[in-house]
Amino acid sequence: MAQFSSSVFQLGFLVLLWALVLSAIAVLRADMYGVHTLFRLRDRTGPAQQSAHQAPARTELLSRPAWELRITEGPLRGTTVPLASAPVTIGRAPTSTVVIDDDYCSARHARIFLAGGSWHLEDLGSTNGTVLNGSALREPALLEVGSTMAIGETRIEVDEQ
Amino acid sequence: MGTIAETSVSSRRTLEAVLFVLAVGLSIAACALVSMGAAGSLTSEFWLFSATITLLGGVLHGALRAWAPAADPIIAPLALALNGIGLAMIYRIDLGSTTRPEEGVATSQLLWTAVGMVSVLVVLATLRDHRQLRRMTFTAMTLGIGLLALPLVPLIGTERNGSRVWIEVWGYSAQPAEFAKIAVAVFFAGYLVAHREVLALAGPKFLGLRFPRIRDAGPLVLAWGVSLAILVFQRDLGTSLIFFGMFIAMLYVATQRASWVVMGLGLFLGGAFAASAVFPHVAARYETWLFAFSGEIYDRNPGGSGQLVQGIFGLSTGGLWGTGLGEGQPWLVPFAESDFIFAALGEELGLAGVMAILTIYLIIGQRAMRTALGVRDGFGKLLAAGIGFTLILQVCVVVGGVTRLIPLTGMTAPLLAAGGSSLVATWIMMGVLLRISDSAHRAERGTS
Repeated sequence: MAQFSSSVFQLGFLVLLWALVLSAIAVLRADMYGVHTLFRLRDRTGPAQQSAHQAPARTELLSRPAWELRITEGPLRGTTVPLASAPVTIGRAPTSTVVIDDDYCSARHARIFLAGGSWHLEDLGSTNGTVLNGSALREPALLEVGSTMAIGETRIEVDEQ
Repeated sequence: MGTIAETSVSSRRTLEAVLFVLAVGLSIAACALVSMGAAGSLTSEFWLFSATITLLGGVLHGALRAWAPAADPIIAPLALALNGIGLAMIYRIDLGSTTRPEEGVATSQLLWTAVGMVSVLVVLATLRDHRQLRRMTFTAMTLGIGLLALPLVPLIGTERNGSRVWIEVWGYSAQPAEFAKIAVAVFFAGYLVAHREVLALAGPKFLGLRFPRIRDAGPLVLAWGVSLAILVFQRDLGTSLIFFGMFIAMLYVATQRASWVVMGLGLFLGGAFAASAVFPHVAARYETWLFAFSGEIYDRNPGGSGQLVQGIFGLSTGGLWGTGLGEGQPWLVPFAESDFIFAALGEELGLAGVMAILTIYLIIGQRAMRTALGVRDGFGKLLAAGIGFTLILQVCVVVGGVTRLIPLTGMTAPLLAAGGSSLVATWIMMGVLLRISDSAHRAERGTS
């Protein structure tokens, strides 16, 4: 009986030892995978930010609801890009508005531009193509709130600001 | 606009408290099992050890809350757990050994644990920013070389077990090389952060590796010379390996160039090979490693492989689950409480326990590297990486030596093994690491 209880305690010690190791690993997992995206509240990005970007003060632009691109997957996950009036270029080239460091992304991959009061997405002859709402993009297409585009491993959603 | 932020960071100290409770509980459980298994009852030492470890854990946790609230929550509890397990094992060998019962190695280890803990408190309280250390780059170099050379000074330096790494003053003995490690790490970090561009960018390219210019290789050659001098004059392969390895690792972190590692390994292997050809005591070490089980070498005195082979027998007795704390015979291996504590732990805790202990070291090393990634200044990065790498390299050298993967070197397992100098020096390093991790985390949170 003494033998038995002793080996139970010895085994219990090993369990306790591993419990310490595993709880330490559980704590450090938060460091490895714990990156998540915080979206700042809308009113905080308000007038101060917009004047900093020198947003055109024309009435037609102000009347149009502000949109933004939200990168939901890929190396830039968590970043957002406001759609003001200037075209947005996407690619690996450092001169692009959104620089994606991804082997499946071309130097000048795609662009998003304003035409006739609405936003369009155009593939700039990229090697691996651009996917809009699940189908490959052949010619410039209209973007709406909720449209999703995929470039390499990056996914971008269009949403209201 | 979106930003990227980390999850749940405010509860760092609470998580740490939980880990501290586990670590202290583990240490007490180990002491209790040892006491019950080897002495048959809970001895007065058990109560003393348990009370002290609990007190020290509480004080360390309080100090971190007060002085380094954003410090890493894992490093301190895990270090304390290693310290506690080591203490229990040393006490166990005290109890088992019939030749030196009243010496009380464990009691003095407990005293050194307390001294180490006070050193951490002093580091945390006085070193409010690790960048203060950068100002001491060349002071640290002088201090480091001075400490390394101290055992060679006549009168105070003494030779023990064939290595001249000890000093003895007024009846107290210490291994100054353990403290030199900290000074040298500070010096390397300060020096490399100032010179890394020239070391990284200049030089010819050969076989796909960019080699440094001859004149820039000076520090490398100097570090190599110093480590070889340790090997030759102090006959200590382990210390020599640790210093050179630390330099190469920090150089690699500073310059990101593999050529330094290739050159460094080449130089070290060349030097070690030459040393074995020239010095008989080094050659004897290689023989005990390669032909440990030959009868002639086993019985050779001095310099036989008896200790090494006994350690391996101990490990094999332990098997997968171990004999149980307090129920094996780990004292049969000479120096089971210091150099061979790993064999003793393997015998009583088995592979299952030893793997957990190695994982604990690995996690501390990972935290050091994580700290190096997180901290903003290059000096802090290099220092944290250097401390983490040194700790892991030392564990590799010790465990490799005990398991006969590499020649035995006579290093002690950091935090586990008996030895005041090593214990206090490692605790000071943990203190510095905690301080750097505090600023790293503040930087990441953007609340400096």
